[in-house]
Amino acid sequence: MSELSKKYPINLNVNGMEYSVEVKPSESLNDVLRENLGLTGTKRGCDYGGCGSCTIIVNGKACYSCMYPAIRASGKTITTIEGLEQNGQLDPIQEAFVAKGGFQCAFCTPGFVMSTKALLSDNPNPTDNEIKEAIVGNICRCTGYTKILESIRYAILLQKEGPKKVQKTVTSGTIKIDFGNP
Amino acid sequence: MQEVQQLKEPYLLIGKSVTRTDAREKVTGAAVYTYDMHLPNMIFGKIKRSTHAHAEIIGIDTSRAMKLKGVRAIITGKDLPNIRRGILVKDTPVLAVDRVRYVGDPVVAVAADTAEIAEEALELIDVEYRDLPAIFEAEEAMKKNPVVVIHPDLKSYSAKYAGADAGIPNLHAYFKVRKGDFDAACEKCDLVVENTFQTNIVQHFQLEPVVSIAKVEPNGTITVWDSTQVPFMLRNELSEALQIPPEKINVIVPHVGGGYGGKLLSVIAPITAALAIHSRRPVKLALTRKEVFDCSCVRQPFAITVKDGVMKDGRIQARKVTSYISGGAYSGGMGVNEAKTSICGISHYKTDNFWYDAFRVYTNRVPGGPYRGFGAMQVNWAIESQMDILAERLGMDPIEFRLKNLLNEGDRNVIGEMTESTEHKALLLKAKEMVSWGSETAPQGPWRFGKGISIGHKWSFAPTASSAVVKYSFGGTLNVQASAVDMGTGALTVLGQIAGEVMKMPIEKIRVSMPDTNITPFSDGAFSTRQTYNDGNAVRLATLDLKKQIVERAAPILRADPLDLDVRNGTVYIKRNPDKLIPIDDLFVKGVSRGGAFAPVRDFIGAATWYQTAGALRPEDGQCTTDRACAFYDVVAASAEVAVNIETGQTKVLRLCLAVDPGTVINPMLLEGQVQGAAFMAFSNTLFEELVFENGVAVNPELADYKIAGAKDAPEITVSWRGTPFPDGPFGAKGIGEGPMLPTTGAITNAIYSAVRVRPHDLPITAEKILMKLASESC
Repeated sequence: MSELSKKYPINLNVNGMEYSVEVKPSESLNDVLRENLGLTGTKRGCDYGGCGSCTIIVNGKACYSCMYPAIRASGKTITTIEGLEQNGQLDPIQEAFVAKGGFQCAFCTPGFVMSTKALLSDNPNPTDNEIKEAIVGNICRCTGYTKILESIRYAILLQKEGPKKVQKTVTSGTIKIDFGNP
Repeated sequence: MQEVQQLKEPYLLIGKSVTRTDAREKVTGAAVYTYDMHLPNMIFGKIKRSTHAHAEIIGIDTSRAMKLKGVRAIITGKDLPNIRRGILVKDTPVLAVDRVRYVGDPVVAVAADTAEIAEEALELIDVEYRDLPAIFEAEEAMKKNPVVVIHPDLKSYSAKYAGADAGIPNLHAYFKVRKGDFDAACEKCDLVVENTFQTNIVQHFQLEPVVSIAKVEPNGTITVWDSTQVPFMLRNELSEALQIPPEKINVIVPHVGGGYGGKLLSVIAPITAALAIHSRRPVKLALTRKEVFDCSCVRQPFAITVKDGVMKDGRIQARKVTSYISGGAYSGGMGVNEAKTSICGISHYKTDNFWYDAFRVYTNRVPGGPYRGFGAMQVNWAIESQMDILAERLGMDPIEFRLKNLLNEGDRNVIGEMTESTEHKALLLKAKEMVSWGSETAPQGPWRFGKGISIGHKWSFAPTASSAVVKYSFGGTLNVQASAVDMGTGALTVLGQIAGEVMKMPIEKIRVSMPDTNITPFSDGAFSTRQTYNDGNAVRLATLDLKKQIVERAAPILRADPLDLDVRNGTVYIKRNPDKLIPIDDLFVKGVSRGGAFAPVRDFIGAATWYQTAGALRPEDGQCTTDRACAFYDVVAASAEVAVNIETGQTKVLRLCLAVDPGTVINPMLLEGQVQGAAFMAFSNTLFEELVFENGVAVNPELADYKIAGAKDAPEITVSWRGTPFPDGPFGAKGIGEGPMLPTTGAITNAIYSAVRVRPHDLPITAEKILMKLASESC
């Protein structure tokens, strides 16, 4: 058996749970999360760090799981999209994406939510430029980013003031006919 | 601004930004896509693809690969039924037989215990080719004596195709319009202007790669899970490709991670199913990102010539448009239809003399196929560029010039359709107002500012059909069975709102199924802006049918005429005495065994089919045989404000404004999302994207080299809509998915011109092209 196909035991802490798995040196953390642990909330869109749909948090930093050798994650603390919901309560970031319609097909959404989570954990009050910098490695092909940016701004507000203090704003309540014929 | 008009009926759900029904599963990562699925005993497929643009296959040797441990099936074209498939032209084999026609053409498929073993097996397969001359440009393909004929047997393919007698052997789709006498009208014009435009090859880039899973069931039927936009079409394509009756194939569609037209073609499902049949194991076949880029489907490039004759007062007297479409190696399923559908990108202006010719020809490149906007976007950009060129030559304001020529209500358009329920002019003026037209920004350093405007309309195709079944369950839930694919659009939420509105039930009580062709009723699927309108109509009618049954069952109990009854929140009540009511649950018989309750005699199930008819376009002159050739028109006007750097050529789009006409808005938040998303896609296509081919090989099929606009590039996108109900739509709704793709590119192009007086005639509009134009203008 060659060095490359040999499997090595590693320990992972994923979403607060301990796992022992055996991995090949070529396997990515994305492979292990999706295939060994069945955590398919973390997506894979390109396999080379181009699209950001595989973003997870390792020791507090947002990472592309598809580029992260699983073997290097041994002993590290990993958070995936499945780890954000606590006791049936969505994370404020998830609440905000729901309220502001910050997703469509949503294959990119776990990645965006995790990039945002890493950002807000470090910097609870980012500027618009800092927000864009934090999601620059995430591609969304559906929304045009407008509602993703709105969602993240709303998440900041929710985190700061708590869900109850913020008025839920609905984009438009009724059908409007807001301009006349020429 | 006019006062806000209230709709006559107070709606419970229509017009409300209700939360998407799939929201929670999507933001928690719980939503399962085909790409995420894993079946017991499943193995993995891979495809050996042609490395030659055009060649004969001399021999295929799979013997070394067969010996590799873990390989479970290897199939070539000769192992499959000798069938070519296609929707209009039957030209596409599942795996190449005798000849490959593009770099990437599937030749051999392998299934193995792991994807890595399958990959390794591909390396052990030897394919010997003999090169043939290849054609990469539409111009060469249009010749009567081209260097090579890509489908020498085209005439024997089972389907008929327009233009078969033109003597152009690589031509396989042709559409023309002949209205009036173009040449005679041109002679009388004050000004005749001709320009050519070239669009780019772009890729859909759905975040979820193209993927399919197939399983042979113990009874011999085949189940396919696929990230498709069109489950029933896929079922029939599988049936045709594998020569298995459609009723023996079941297509199930889990969540779909984006489509945009790129998941309309059955690029891999027949291969996956064939591998499953040969290996007797469930097989998953997922394309790599590179394969999605250069081997699945691309937006086909159009070379467009526009020649116009106009009068000094701004009337367009004559217009002739010619499109040459480099279609790629095969007809691309419905991609071949783009020759015809492109007409709706240029039919929004009236003129008495209008000629159009669209030629789709084979070239040795990955097949072009459906892409959001379906051919209409390409020609719309050419026309909307030309409109600004004409306005400048005439010394007219581009908006005034457009207003002079846009369709009015009641006008016949260039293909003879009656203009109904469209508001082109109001939308153009709204787009003008949104961008603060007329106010100019002074130059700042190297930056020059400009604004541009554009308008277009996209039709939703017809004839087409959708069916729905709606069941009221004890306990007060409504189960809507439809086959709409929600590839991100929010279609399932919209259908839930429509059903809920009829029954006056909250959205939380409504479940809308995802497609499963064995169980859910027919729908043509998710394309051509069709689901809100067609599936929406089916769901509305089915729910009305259900409501009628419930009311009739309640009538004797309430001692009232059914016509005097209505439903609300799980009850039936007397309209003039709303306090007199009966819970719908009371119409069930309770306490049977421990199973809850049943509806006596007949379950509460409503069903309906919506069939949208349309006239045909006559082959001889492209004129419609009735007042409408489609389901409806989706009119969109766009305005843009840009900043262009005259030192670097860089363009920043500061603002995009979209004025849309979707009929009644079912869900404003979803509507805004669709419009913003389509406009952004067009923006990214316009400035950044191009899949570049050299000698038939894609040179940038990876994200590092193929730029897709990101959050830092994102302009502010504002959306305004008219909510005028469309008479035939469910609660007056039309659709919106594609329309904003049309005018956005034109608005950006025209804004760039207004900023720096240069106008690239080929997409994408890169910094280099602007700089070169600026340099050549200043010489």
